[in-house]
Amino acid sequence: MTPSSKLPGYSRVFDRLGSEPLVRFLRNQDIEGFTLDDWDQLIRLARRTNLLSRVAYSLNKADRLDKVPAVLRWHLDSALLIAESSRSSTLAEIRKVTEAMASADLPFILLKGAAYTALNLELSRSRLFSDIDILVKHADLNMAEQTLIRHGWLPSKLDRYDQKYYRLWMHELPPLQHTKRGTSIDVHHTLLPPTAKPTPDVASLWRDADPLPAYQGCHVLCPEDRILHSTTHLFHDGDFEQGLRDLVDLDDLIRAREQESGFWDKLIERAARHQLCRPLYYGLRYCRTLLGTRIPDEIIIDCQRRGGVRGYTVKAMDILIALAILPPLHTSRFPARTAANWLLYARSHYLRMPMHLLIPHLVRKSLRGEK
Amino acid sequence: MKVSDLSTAELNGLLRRHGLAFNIGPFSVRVKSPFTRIASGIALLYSDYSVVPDAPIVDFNIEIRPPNRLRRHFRPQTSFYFDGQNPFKPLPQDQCFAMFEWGLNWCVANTAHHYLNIHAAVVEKNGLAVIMPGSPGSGKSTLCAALVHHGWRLLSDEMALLCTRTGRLTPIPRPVGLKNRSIDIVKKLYEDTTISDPVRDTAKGTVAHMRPPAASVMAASEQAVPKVVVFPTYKDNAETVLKPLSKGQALLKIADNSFNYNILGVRGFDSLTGMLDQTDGYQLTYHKLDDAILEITRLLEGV
Repeated sequence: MTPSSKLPGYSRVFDRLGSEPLVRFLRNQDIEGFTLDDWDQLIRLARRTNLLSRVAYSLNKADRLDKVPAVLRWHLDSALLIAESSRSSTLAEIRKVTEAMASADLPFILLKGAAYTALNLELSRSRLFSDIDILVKHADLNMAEQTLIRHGWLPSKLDRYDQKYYRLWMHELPPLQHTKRGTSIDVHHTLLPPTAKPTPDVASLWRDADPLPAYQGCHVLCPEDRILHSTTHLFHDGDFEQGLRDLVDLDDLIRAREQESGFWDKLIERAARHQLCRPLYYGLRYCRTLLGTRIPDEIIIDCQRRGGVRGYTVKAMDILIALAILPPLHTSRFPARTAANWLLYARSHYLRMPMHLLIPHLVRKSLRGEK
Repeated sequence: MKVSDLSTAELNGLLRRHGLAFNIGPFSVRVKSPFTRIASGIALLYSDYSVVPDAPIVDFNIEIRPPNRLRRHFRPQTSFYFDGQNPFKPLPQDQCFAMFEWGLNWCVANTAHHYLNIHAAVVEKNGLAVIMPGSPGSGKSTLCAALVHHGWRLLSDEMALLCTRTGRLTPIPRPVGLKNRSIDIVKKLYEDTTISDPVRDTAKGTVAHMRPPAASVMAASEQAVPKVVVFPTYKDNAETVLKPLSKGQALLKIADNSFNYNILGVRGFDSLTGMLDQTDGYQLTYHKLDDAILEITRLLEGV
């Protein structure tokens, strides 16, 4: 890591990651002196973290695809095609969801990747197609579910326990899957499970959301809320398979806005209102440490203070994130890594639910042998 | 060096430790696995493939091993890993070799978009290729195995790789996947053929794999020109009927059988129309293999 990116309390555990070809590339497109092996590592790890299209898009935009060794070039050419088709699949799917929701006059907010695509943000041009996430008003939840079912999205086959888990404790309905296209949609009514401690201010999410005139009834969160949702998703969902991709999203969202006057103050003010200073702190910390995002020291310090994040917790998180953020490509098993992933998973659940709900839930899940 | 040049101990050692790297058509693969079934399957079916010695870089790094779960202690299972990613649910351990074959198909279908990839068997004679797309149960693999035994070169029994730049077909010869009844049919007809032990109760029923002819494996770098597209349908006691398809019908049917037509967008459409400018499409309903072979031979010779 370069000294400029070092935070107050920077941890040496990240030193190793700074020399990873993929991390070097994501920080500042540094491919200086890359060997064939470095390119191979870059491509494999990028594919593993759903970032290969992103890498290909950046190289192509900078007109540097010719720097890729010939034997590996096809991986990137293919990834470029995947990026293009992902984008048009996402746009098509947004249209279908809009049509369905408009038929019942239901307003909704597009979240995450779908929102970036509908807004035509730069990062959406290389993001892989994934589930569509939307937010509806709590009062509209049943109506939204019925409407989507009428339009071909059917509830996945879940047992009664899972149904109960979602409907009682979660911030979203059980995922719905389209019978013909196989695409999934997650319908949220807030950003975090009601059983979690922080309670985001849903009314203000709606109040400050921007309507998208091209899609009837469709909105996106305001820029600050988009950033907050991205960090919350990363540090509360506990699925670190996508962790690096989520950090890259966050880095892009911040880079697009940081020049605006008053951006940082507004972001912190929003985070405080939604009680999301803690996930924002982690998001900013790891974005800057790993990807070199420009974030002022005082913002990070302020965010830590407001989120009430203690120094030793940060040290523990540093170790877990450093172990889990890059998934292993091969072979020998890494007990430390597996343990780190498990701890992050357990942490996300602990943040989601009080202990008396959490322990029976995890026991049930582990007996069934699935995460 | 070929896979058959390795002793059993060398092969096992490579598979267990660094992985065995070998070429499959335009791709290179490194396989690691602790399972003896993988070692015996590769020794039996991939004997003619060329080993890439000390290869630091291959296209697909694959591992077939037990999933990381407690359950493996009371129910032996196998998982497929591509660069550590695990796209499938675990299968019973005796299906590990089939899982390698299916998983490798998945890798090619999901990453190699410099080709239009059509789910089809491809065979060639005199530089001209027959593409036989087919849904499972259409008899394409049986017909493909039969053609191969009549001296046709095997390009693939699973995927036609149409190069989007040259419009030619790139061979990716692999073991021919046989299912259920077709295993016995092929065994009976062609006694000298090598077929792996059938594995029962897979998602596709009973499966076995036939070793591709050495000549086909060795000619894997020679592309072929697409000449006809035949959609085979096996039907009990049916007369052999060959029905020409319009260009439009053929285009839709091929697009429907393609793994990545949607991803290629305009490029996919252009490749397909380019190919259909020089090829004709047919629907072939058959019962007797010999008749089907005769019809296909006639088509290729333009009789």
